[in-house]
Amino acid sequence: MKNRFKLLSASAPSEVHTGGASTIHLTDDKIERAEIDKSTRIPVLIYYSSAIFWLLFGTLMAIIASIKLHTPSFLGDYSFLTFGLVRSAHLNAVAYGWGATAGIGTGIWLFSRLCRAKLVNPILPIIAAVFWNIGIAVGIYGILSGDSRSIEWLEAPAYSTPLIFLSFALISIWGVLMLFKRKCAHLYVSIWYLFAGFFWFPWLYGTAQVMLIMEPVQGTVQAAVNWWYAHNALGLFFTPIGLASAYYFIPKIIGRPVHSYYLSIIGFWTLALFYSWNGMHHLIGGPIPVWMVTASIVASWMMIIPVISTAINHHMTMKGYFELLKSSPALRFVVFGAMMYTASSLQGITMAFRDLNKITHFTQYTVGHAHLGLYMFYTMMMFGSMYYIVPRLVNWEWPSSTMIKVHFWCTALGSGLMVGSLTVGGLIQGLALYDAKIPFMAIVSLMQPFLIFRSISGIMIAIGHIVFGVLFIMMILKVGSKQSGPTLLNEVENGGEKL
Amino acid sequence: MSFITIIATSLKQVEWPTSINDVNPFFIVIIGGMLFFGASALWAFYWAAKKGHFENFQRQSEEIFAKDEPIGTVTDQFPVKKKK
Repeated sequence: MKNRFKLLSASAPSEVHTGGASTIHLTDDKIERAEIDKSTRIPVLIYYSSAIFWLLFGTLMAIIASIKLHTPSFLGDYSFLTFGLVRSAHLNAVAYGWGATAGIGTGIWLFSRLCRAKLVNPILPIIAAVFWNIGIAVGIYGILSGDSRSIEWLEAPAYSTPLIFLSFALISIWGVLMLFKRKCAHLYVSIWYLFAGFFWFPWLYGTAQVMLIMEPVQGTVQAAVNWWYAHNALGLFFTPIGLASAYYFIPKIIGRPVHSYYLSIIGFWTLALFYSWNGMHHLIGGPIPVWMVTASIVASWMMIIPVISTAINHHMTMKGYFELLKSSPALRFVVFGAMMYTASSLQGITMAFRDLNKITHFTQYTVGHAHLGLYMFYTMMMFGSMYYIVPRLVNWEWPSSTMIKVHFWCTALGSGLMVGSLTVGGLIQGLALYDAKIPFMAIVSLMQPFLIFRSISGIMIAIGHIVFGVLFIMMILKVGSKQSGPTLLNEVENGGEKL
Repeated sequence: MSFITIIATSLKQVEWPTSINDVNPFFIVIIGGMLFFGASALWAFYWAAKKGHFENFQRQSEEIFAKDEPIGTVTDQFPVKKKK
């Protein structure tokens, strides 16, 4: 570590302060933070453990689905492993099982820390976690046994969704209660993002359930409701949680306030205003009123405002500090995620353009875009958050920096290869499909190498995930010898009680 | 035909419910949710403006630092093997 950046050593807190009065304040702040972290320990670890379980399960489903696309006979004798079922099981396991669960865990920790208050009513998030996991497990079992409802993002059968809704309503109520107990002077921008995600999602999910399952609307309105929900789940739930993490962890890790807080607020309110209109751009060319699609395209282009303001903000905050990417695992993942947020949002905006959309619609290009957003942005952001949060919860340092590096490079290169091959392949596929002279079977075999690349990248990502799973288990079990730490975790004592 | 005329014509064609029993209860839930969550966003914006969240940005951006983790402190690093 060069001297340019001061790393506060936890083992020698006396070095950073002199004089009696400030010593007390320093210890007070540290104790307060340790107590808040401790209060979130059990719920957050429950969320993180189940998230990692679903991540590994979802990765397995993904690899099976991916191999089936270029080798259809693979596991062809099992009816519950047909492509349509495995693909939906993958989506539900990684989006709701991994993504949402990891996001709620991170959200709980961030929320408590930023409210500067101990977690209130810990029973609510714990009950929610139990219901959530049962709901996802029953839902995925239902999908694999043939009860899938064939509505994208809402495949889980009707007998599992009330549990998921109930669990999220509990989280929402917990968020409101927590906000009332806050002790912070101001609501930092991350709280806005997190609270928005927590508060809106049950409404989105509930509305979609009512309008598609309980009292289905008729005809193509179903498609409109479907994409209103699915795009809002991405834009008003996953994106705010990912951005909340970026807005906290980048400044916090490098020890520099965010470049422009003003831009971050602009980003939040414009995201809230424009993102909710975006859903209909999934139905370009579809049989719904054209004005609905056009309104969505305009709103998609307006997303340039929050995306660019966030991109400028994160880049300018990091400017001059990029060296720290070498030394901080959490920062590495978070900054990678933040860069990919810009990339995926800009790509998404261009995809809302009719002329590009007519080529890329129904091709692997869209699949590539989905992984750029939910994997390279959101998932990497969650990994980064976990690298920062877990040591502070279990009071143990990550056991191996080599394993962290393996995790980073396998997932970063793997996902890069996947998105790259699907984007190029998807464009070729789209252009070929647009040419009526090319026989369909020729296009199918044209896609084969790209799909094989995707399977290879999937295996790379799976290796990264398994390494991360092992690291997480080692952390929970506190394997190895105690390290005095770089992550400032030396034991804090308050009146003889270890925190 | 102007936009307003189109809307007025289509509104005339709607068969409005004559009693509350004719209204689908789910419809009330959906419209109610829409109004409630829409209003909550507007109210949050108003509240933020009133409580000074749109001024003094520098101070708000420093909210995440503490006296023992002040600005200029790097708080994350790869684990290092303890030298014996």
